[in-house]
Order: sequence, then structure tokens, then C-alpha cells
Amino acid sequence: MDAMSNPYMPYPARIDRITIENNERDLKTFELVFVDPAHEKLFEHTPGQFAELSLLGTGECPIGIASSPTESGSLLFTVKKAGVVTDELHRSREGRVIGVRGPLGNAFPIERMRRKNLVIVGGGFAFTTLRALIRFVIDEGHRSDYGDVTVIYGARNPGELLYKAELEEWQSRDDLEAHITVDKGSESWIGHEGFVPTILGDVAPSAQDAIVVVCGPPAMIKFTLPVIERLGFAPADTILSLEMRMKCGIGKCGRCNIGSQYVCKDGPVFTLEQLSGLPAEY
Amino acid sequence: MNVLLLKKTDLPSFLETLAKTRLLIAPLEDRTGSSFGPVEDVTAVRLDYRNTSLSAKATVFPQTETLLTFRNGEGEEWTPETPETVLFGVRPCDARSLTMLDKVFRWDGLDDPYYVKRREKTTVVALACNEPGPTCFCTSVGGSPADETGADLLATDLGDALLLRAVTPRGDALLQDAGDTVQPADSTAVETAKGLATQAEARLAPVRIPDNARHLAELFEADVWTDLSFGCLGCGACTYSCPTCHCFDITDEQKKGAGRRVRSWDTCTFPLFTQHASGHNPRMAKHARLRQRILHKFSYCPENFGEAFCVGCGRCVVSCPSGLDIRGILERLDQTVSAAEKAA
Repeated sequence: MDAMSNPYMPYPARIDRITIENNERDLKTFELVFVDPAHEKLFEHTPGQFAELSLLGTGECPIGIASSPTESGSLLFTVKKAGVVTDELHRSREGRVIGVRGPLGNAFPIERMRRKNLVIVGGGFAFTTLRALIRFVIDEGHRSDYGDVTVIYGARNPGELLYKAELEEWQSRDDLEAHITVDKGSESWIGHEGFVPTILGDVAPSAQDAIVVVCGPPAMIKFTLPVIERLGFAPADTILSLEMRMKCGIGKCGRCNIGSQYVCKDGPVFTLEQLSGLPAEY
Repeated sequence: MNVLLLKKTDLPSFLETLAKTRLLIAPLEDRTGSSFGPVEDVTAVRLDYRNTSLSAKATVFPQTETLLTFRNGEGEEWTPETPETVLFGVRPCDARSLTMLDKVFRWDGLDDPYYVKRREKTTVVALACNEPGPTCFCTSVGGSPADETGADLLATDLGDALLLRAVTPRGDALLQDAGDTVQPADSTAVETAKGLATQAEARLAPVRIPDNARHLAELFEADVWTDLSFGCLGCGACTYSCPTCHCFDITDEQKKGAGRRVRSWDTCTFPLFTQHASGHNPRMAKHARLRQRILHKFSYCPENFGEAFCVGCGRCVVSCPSGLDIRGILERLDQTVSAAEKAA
């Protein structure tokens, strides 16, 4: 038996490139390449899914996959330095071989999103799986499957924005409307200034034939959901992604449940309609 | 299926026959009273126990087990030899609990390889309860003192002999192996066993369990949890002794670049169980953790697996250092549900 049939065995993957995302240097994006090309084929993911990053001797941590399956050859994970595993990951250098276990969890409902207008709302470093989704829908092979794509993304300050070069590129595209905002700008900042819910209210994308996907810190979610509701999005068309402490990632260890649902296997993606039927324990 | 009789005087040779080709795990006396362990001396096997201090779940789901080993950054799957095992003399509640663990570890077609490997090699010989203990309540949660669920073979103690009833082909095979240590059972023995089961059942006091998992879930915000959890120390003794609790942790151990990744029993009664790296904790309060334990068993499991994950063994009642009694908790919840229904 090997990694292919044992869900606890990570696939070895090499850190090919590390990008420091912010001034505080506590957000880094790791580009991973599978050591065994056969594992790359087995790792078929969809935007919204996550994986357990595995450092043998230290442990594992669940991280959303920031790359789209359309970007073949490698996987991206943007990791905040927060605990024991992420701390060691942050101290790792390019070339180190770590482990990847996944893909885990459900995904954004890309089939249900077809022919719909998409409103993608993100805040802070929760933007990672939204990047995967955006890259997926603006991919040449997929762009025509979707209607208008509006992105609203905010961070505390310009330095905290992830994927800065890419954001710039998106703003110049005509098949994507990107509104980038910061809570507080700097002298050189020429974009929006203001909180995500405010900007969302100002941009006011139509809820007609549209699905909204929102990921961000709890405070942002709390103030964004009423705006989404006011814009007319139905709870079934409002999609969120949850975080929870996890271990196994496959619905056995009993750690990430919210009521009868397991964030690791029934989630992390839920509609607001689904969440309203669950206890508020997340 | 065969029904055979085993004289108590032949029990040691019966067990020795089984142990020839299998690992024999049975109740043995220890400082806690009795617990399951590998049998070295068949005369040490005890059948006169009420119930063991810990359940039999460790046979298929050890308290700590290696998932993989590593050396210099390279991991290797841990594939220990798993011998054919006979779990002999488990109470029917424990035998039934294995069918619940099966549901979790084989959920959604995703098998837990470590559990499944052990489970598939384990033959379960249950021992009917003639004298249920004071904290037993199996009949209130769908079991009974002579329940065959989860057993391959059900034994009933008739005093000077054991009546052995094969429940599955696997149990039958065990009897075949036993050869001439067992003999045909007459109808008197069968009737005596039935009578003992009926008597035992009659001795169990019913516990009122909230019958609707949905209604129980509606109590999520009720004040009753704070009250119920007042005495809880969060020690986890109830979950470790529980035959159906299956939550686990995964941690790494290493020394000089080599080590192993292990999983160990964990418990939802510990605050750190759900604490995020950010410090956020969805179940920060003690009442939320007790509620999780109760609702997981009596609301979420019925929703996910079609039955409550409690076999009424009463171990959590015995092991709780502050005297919390799950029967009292369930009756109180039942009253709260009824009161809420009346008010509606």
C-alpha cells in the first residue's frame, strides 16, 4: 500500500519557489512540485479545495489551494505564519521536500456557476482559494462558460494585499472587473480606500443570474453578509468557505464538525442557506 | 448456524485451540478490576466480570498507533503485521459498538486502512450479560443483554457450561476449529439461555432518551447545557472509556531526524481540541463542549449514521470523577424537549 490507497500518506513535493507576500513577512506563497509526476496526475483538484501540508517530524496543517488546476505543473499555497507547522514552513528554503495530502474537501460549485455572473469578495489572506477560482474562470478554456466576473478584494493596507503583480494585471483586463481596496492607504496608493462591505455596497453588482462567493476574516464576513442580502442575493446563491481546526481531513477524527457536517469533507465550501441550518459553532 | 455447548472444564483447551492460530484477546484481571489484553495464560481469562474498565475498542482502534515512520525527511507507511485475532468475552454492548466504529472508519466509501485491516482480522465472541450492572442501560439505546449485533459468536454463561451460538459464518468457523472441545447443545440449554436473557433484560431500568435527534439539535441554544456541565472537569475520562467515542489527534514524534507520526485518542472535552492557530476557538466554553459530546452521540450520529452512538455500557457514569451521569443528562434533556414541545 502507498500514498495512492492510504489517505494518511502525504505525496512528497518540493518547494520550488517561495514568494514573500507582505511587508511583515508572515505571509508566504509556496510553489510546490510533486517529486513523483504520477502523484501530480492523482492530485486532481477543483478551486475551493484544500490540502494538508505535511512536515515530517513537526506535523500537518490544512491550507487552501491557491492555484487553479489550469496552472498545471505546480501547486500554490499561501501560508500565514501562525502555529508550529506554519512557522517551520516559513523557515524552510526552496528545494526542501515536504508532503502534500489531498486534495481534500468539496469545492466551489463551478458547474452550478456556469453561465452565471460571478461576484467574488475576499478579505485579507483568506483570498487564496478565491485566487484559484478567479484563475480558473478567466482561463482561456473556461472564460466563455461564465458571465461577468466582478472581484472585490481588500486588505488592511497595500502591503498586506496578496498576489500584487497579478492584481495589477487583473485590473487591466477587460473580461474581469477588479476592485482592490485597503482599509488605510499609503501615499503611493491610488486604489480604493475603505472596508470591503462598503466598497461592495458602492460597486453594487447585480444579483440577477449571479452567484456571490465570499471569503474573509469573521469581522468582514459579518458586515458583508447584510450587504449581500441587500443586493438581493439568495442564501442559496451566497457561497462561503469555512476554516476549522483539522487533523485527518477525511471525516474520521471528529474535530472539525459543525453539527452533523464535517468542514473537512462536507465543506469547506457551504452556501449561506446550508450554514443557516447548522449551529453557529464556527 | 451452529449452537454448541462448551463445558467450563473444557474452556482452557477451547481457548488454547483458538490461540494456536490467532491472537487471543480477553478480559483479564488488573488493578482496575478487569480489562482486555492479550492472553498468555488461558486460565487467567475471566468471565465473571460485570464489565471491563475500558472498552474493547483498543483492539481495533488502539489508544496510540503509528501511521507512518520517517527518517531524514522521507516518510514510509507503517504496515505492521496484523494477526488473526479473537476478541473473546466482550459484553454485547461492546460488540455492538464495533458496528458503530465501522460506520465512521468506513464512511462514504473512504476506508481508514489501519482500522479496517485490524477489524477485518478480528472475530468477536460476545458474552451475554446475566447480571447487568447498576449503571447499565443498553435496552434504552437499542441494545440488550444478549444482543448479537457486532458478534460473530454469542456465548451465554449457564453456570457449568457456555452455550455458544454462531451468529456469522466467521463465528461458525471458530466453532469448527474448536473441534471436540465443544458438543451439541440440547434444547434445555437453549431455553435456559433464553430465560437468562429475559431475566437480565427485566433488571434494566429504562432511561428516557430524547427520541428525536432533530428536537435535540433545537436545544442547541438552551440554558440547560450550562447547568448540566456545571460539574464537568473536562478531564475526558468519559470519552476515553466510551466504546463509541472515536475522535483522535495526529502528532509527530522525532529524535535525531527519525521518528513516527502517530494517532492517539483525543477528546472533545478538551478546550484545545478545536482551538485554531489564530487563537479563535469555536467551543471555548465548557457547556459547548459537553453539548458537543451529547449532541454528537444523540443528534449528529443519528443524522449521519442512522443511530445514536451510545450502547448504554455506563462506563462514562462510572469513570466520571465528579459524578456526571449521562442517564440523568438524557432524562433532563428529554424533559426540556417535552417542555419546549408543550410550549410550542
